[in-house]
Amino acid sequence: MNGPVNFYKTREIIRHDVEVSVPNNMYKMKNIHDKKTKEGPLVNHVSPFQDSVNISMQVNQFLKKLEDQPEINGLEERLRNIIRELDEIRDDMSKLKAAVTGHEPVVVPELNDMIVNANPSFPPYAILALQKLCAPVVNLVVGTHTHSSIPSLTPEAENLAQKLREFVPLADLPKISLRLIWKNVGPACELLATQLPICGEANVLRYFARVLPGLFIYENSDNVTDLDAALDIAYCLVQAKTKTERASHLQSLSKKLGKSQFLCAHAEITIADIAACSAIKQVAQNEVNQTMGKWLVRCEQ
Amino acid sequence: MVETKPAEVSEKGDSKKGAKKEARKAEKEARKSERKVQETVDNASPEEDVSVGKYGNLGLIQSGSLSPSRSFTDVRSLNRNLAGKDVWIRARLHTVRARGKQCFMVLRQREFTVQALVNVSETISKAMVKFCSNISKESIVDLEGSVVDLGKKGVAGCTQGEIELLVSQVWVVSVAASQLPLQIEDASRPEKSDDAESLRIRVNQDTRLDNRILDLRTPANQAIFRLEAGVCRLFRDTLTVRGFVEIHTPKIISAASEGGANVFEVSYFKGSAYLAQSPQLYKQMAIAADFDKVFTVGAVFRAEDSNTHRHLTEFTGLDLEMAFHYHYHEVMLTIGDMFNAIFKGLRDEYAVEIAAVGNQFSVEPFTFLDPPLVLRYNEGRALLAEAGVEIGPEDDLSTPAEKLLGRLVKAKYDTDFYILDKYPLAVRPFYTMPDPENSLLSNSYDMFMRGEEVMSGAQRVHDPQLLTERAKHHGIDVSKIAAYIDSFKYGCSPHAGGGIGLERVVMLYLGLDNIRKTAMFPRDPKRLTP
Repeated sequence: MNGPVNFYKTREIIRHDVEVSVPNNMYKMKNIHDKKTKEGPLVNHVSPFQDSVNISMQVNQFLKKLEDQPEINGLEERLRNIIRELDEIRDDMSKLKAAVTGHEPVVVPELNDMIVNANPSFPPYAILALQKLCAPVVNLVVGTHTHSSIPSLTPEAENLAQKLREFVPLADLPKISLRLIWKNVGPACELLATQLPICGEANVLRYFARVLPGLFIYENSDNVTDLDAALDIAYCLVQAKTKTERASHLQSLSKKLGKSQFLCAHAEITIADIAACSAIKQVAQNEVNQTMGKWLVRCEQ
Repeated sequence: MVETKPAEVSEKGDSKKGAKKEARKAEKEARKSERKVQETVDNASPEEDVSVGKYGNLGLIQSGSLSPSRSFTDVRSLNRNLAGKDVWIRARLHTVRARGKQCFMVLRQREFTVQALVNVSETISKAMVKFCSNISKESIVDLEGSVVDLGKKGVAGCTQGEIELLVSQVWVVSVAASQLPLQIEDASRPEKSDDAESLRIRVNQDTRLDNRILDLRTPANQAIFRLEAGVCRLFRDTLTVRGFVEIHTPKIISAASEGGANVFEVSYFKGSAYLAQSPQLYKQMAIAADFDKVFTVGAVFRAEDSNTHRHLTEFTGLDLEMAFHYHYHEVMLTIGDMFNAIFKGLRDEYAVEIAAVGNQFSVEPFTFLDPPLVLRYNEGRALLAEAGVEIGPEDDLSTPAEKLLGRLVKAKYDTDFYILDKYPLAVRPFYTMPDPENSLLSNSYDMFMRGEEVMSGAQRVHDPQLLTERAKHHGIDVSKIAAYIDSFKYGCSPHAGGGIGLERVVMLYLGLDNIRKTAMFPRDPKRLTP
């Protein structure tokens, strides 16, 4: 038992003599920890401070030399001129644009699926006028339906619906969709933009003038009260039951017109003109005098 | 002597009373004898009845060679213009009321009623009046009378109230049993809840259905089923005008057409077969066979054990299928127009019937727009969201949501009919064509009346490969529907269609609360008779 005791042998678990095959699909890098080689990246990886100072000094000197030369100054001047000219052109363009549309740029609100209920005996011609006036800025697309309370449409209503359908919307403009429903309502049409109806064509026009500010002449004009009065006359004209009542309303409209191009001494068409014109076409087409007849034709255009 | 005593006493104490008594006695006696005389006259000499040959039971009409030829006037056409003329009418005895020498009869022909008066006169005997007052209600009588203009007074409660008939002959054609399981008057009493003073006696639904033939005699029911016939006729007419062909599809089929849970199994010789729950496959096959535009009217069976106000196990299906050129809206708008044509036809030609139904049930007139209102499913969802009901983009509308949407649309557009387009693909059957621009949506549409769905339709997949794909996506065993898929193998036009239930359309058009009111002999899980 005095002899050397053999230690028991264990099974080898890890072998260290295996050659590791390094994948060759990666580029090779130098071993930065290998200090035996003098060319390692850690050696000389910062350039001496003196050199960089030298370069900046050289550049400054070069620029100083150039400063005195006239070509450089001329170049700067020319660039400034070009920028100024571009600014001028941009101003001209925006002025031209405003002149073409005739209005300030209009912000079109999101108006989804509004409804106008109208009696076919009193077709709301104002919608056609609205569609025409809106055309450069916004597509007013009008779909028509007939409610079951109307057995058959009048030819006037049919005619208006046809004209509204003929409208060709422009592709790149925002859209407002409107449904015109022929329904057994009173002479005043109803606009359902929210839950409560807006009654009467004049008020429908006021609504549109407010949601599309700048597109129509109404509250942006000096004599708003005059226009309001004219709008109210138009409303009353449709509601009038007798010929004498109508005649008195027509007379007040005639006074408002006077000798000017449009109502209330305006040179351009206002929403009062649209309302009055539509009202006259609905109930008193044959009861107007010559001046008003001419004015009606002007409004049509 | 003793006998006279009380008389004397009475004479003494109360002579006036006694005299009166005596007088009354005498009067009674006199009347009695008078009556006896009268009776003896009546009994002894029946030949003296001046009205013999003017009334009685007509006996069984067997179309004998001696049948009288008479021209009859409809009750509905009786009016002032006929005053003074003698007319014959055949009608039911609605009510009869005798009063002394007069007998008032109300005669009913369908929903029209007229009063007839039998009055004792030189030509009318008392016996005839008595006979008339004993005719049982609901008997059919032939009656001759002259039309009397009542002027402004009129008869309340009769449709032909401006006149009455002064009867000269009454013959009973068919006697009704004197005990009726339900009174027509009760069954036709207005059911408007706002009338506090009216009688609360009603006939309940089951009693009505158990005695349907009596129930059907009420004016409202007469009108309902005439209107139903109108819907069917207008459906046929409008589609025929548009170039559709009527086809008839088998009702006994070998396999369930949709799903398979809700079909009736019937024994078929040694095996079994099913009752068709939709003619859809056959409509589509007709399209594949180049019929282009087809429709069919026929029974449809659904083995759904649902006892609701709007489900029947057998109903009349009005189905149509149509090939189109490029867009399924061609079909959808055709269907919309068809609905409008039906609604217009009912409004213009059936005003009397609608009013008759309105007399019993509170009915709001049906409103619609022409052309019909088409909303996209997403617009519908937006409307619901505004009202506070959120529906996911791939969810189906629940029944309450559908009803709410119906109310919202009615409030905004004032229409009871509208089309909801572009349903999510996930909630439609496998044969629905997916939308090419939005993978969530499909080319399918539902149509609604008063907020309840009446038609569900879509563009069908007509390409066998896509159809197989869609079926697999829905986990359907393709081998079971091989015949369906194969029918598109030999080329098929793009097509779309849909089907409506006649009873449901009538119910919703009239605004009634139960589909059993518009099915003549309804079949539901609990009722197989009559």
